Amino acid sequence: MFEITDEAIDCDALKRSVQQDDCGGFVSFEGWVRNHHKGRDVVGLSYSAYRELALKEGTKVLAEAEAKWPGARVLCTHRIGRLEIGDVAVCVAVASPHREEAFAACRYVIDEVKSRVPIWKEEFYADGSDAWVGCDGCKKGGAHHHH
Amino acid sequence: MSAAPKVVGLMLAGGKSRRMGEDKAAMVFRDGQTQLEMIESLLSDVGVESFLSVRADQDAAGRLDDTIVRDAFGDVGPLGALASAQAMRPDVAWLVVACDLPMLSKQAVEQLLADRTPSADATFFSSRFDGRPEPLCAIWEPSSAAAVRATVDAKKLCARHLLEDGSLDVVALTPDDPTALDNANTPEEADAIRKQMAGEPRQVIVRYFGVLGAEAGMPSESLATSAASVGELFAELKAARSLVQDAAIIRAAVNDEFVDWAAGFDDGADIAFMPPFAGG
Repeated sequence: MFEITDEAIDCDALKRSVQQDDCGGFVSFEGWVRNHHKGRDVVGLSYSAYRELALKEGTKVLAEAEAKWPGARVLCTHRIGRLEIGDVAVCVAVASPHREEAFAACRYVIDEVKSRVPIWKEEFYADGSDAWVGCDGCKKGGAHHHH
Repeated sequence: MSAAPKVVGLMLAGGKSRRMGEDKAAMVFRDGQTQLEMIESLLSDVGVESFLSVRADQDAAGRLDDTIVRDAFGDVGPLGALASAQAMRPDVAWLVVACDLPMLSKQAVEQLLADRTPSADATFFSSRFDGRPEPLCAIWEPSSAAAVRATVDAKKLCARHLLEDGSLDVVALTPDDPTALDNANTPEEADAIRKQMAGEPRQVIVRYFGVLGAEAGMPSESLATSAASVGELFAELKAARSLVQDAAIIRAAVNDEFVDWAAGFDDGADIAFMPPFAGG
């Protein structure tokens, strides 16, 4: 199940959910909020999502992973809202009979989620400015409104 | 191997149009033609001879008897109409077309004819709303007649169920022109389709995500637009709201589905504009 939450992610709960006696390998990924981005000091960030479409697309990604690596059990939770440095933004948990599938499926899920799921990140910097991340192709100059 | 059976059109005009309140076959949507005239002309354009399906006692508007298929199964609906046609001409493949498809295009019918699989029992389009069979514009081969007749005799009247229950060998096509099969059963649906055709204003909700929300100064708004596609709508709003981003890096969605810029939308649509994603 792909989930979106505005609370702290319980990564251990995801691990327990995919755990199964016929699985010999477990791989997980956590995306942490770090304190720098492109040379700038980050003090926090805010994730927002198009919830309905994000849940749909995220669910598709997980189903694709389980189809590509039969036997793998995959879960992913993404957090939205205001996050502080060190918070977990996203957690992917994969259990499978053997380790090859677990590594591959985990990599696939985080890469696809980043690319296809409608979630946005606004970063806040030590100098008081902010920027929408991932928008390298975006033009600058729009009015910014702080929420 | 014998040649594929000839395709002959069956225009369904025997419905009572209860919800519409007026005869759907006689309604005019475009070019000054009634629905019946539009479909007949379309079938003629693609080289398909057409028959009119009517109820047992319905006035057939002066048509010659040999161009009519009168319902012989108690006026139970489209499957009965089809069974009547197949009984009359068991040698042909019947291209059944409902009279309440105002957006039906020559392109849609040509695709159906081109991708028809005569060795199957039926070829149809999948609905753009739920992916299920769309029986309102479909080709039923002679080999489907026994199953159709059995279904009607058993008083099971849903053509869609028959096409998906596994008793027939079927071919489902994805329509190149998905809105061609939108049907109008009620006055409200007819109005919405007319507005879309005339480019008349539709009331929609627009959601601005990521940096677009900051540029627009709001996360969403309700507005009226005559735009025929989400691409046109974005261009309108880019100007009206002074949005900085170019369509080239924006993605659109309508009613929680990703769409491309050419996609249209109905009254009441929920439209989203999304800059590049930055999750994870």
